[in-house]
Amino acid sequence: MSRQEYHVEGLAEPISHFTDAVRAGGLVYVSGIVAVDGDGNLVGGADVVAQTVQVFENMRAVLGAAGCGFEDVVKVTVFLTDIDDRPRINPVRQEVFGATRPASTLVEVPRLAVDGAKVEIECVALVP
Amino acid sequence: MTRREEIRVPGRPELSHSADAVRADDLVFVAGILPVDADGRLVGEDAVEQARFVLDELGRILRGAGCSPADVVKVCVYLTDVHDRPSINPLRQAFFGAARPASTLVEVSGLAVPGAKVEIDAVAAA
Repeated sequence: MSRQEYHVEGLAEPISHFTDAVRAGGLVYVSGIVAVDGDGNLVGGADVVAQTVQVFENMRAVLGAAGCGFEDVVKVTVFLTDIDDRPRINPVRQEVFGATRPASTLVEVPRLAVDGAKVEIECVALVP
Repeated sequence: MTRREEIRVPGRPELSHSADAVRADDLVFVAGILPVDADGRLVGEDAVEQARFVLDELGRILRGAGCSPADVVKVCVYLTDVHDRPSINPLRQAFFGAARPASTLVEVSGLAVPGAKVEIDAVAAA
């Protein structure tokens, strides 16, 4: 089975020993994404909705590099620092995924790796 | 064969923008399962009762995708109290039998439904 790493131009350097996504056969595993710009600076301040919009913008770039779109996502895992933010970010998810419904897991965690980050999202997609 | 298929099982709650499972080629990704009934109400007083319900639901979803517990390759268990791990382990053994999936278990600070103590998601071979 083939294995290919993707590092997307314009996105921040990964903060640890990982890359933006790895393709294994027909599946692409996308690393956990937080709301940072190309320089690694947090975007959206304390606004979880603005952060989520940025997360999905970054995810769009990663998926695109692997030849995928949101309609190809099969699993998404959402990590929130405040579980009460779930209803706030749901409209963003609905807008991004539209008619597509990936399998989803959502949990609250005490902290994320980037200071101030309130949401991190990872996913798995099927290469069309 | 359709390469991507969203699977929905009757009697499952509508908690977010999610399918119960999605098949991708020869793998099935099962969404995180919470101990809630079709109306989104919490099921089970303690972690053991909740885990029993969640595993029953996992079994239903796997069957809906044409799989069985023996087909699970990876399971991830999220507990709000990691000390519940020993008490739910016998349920896992009963559910998987001789099969041993790859497994991750972590404590999380909260789950989407108040009072829920356990959430489980899984990947299975289709």
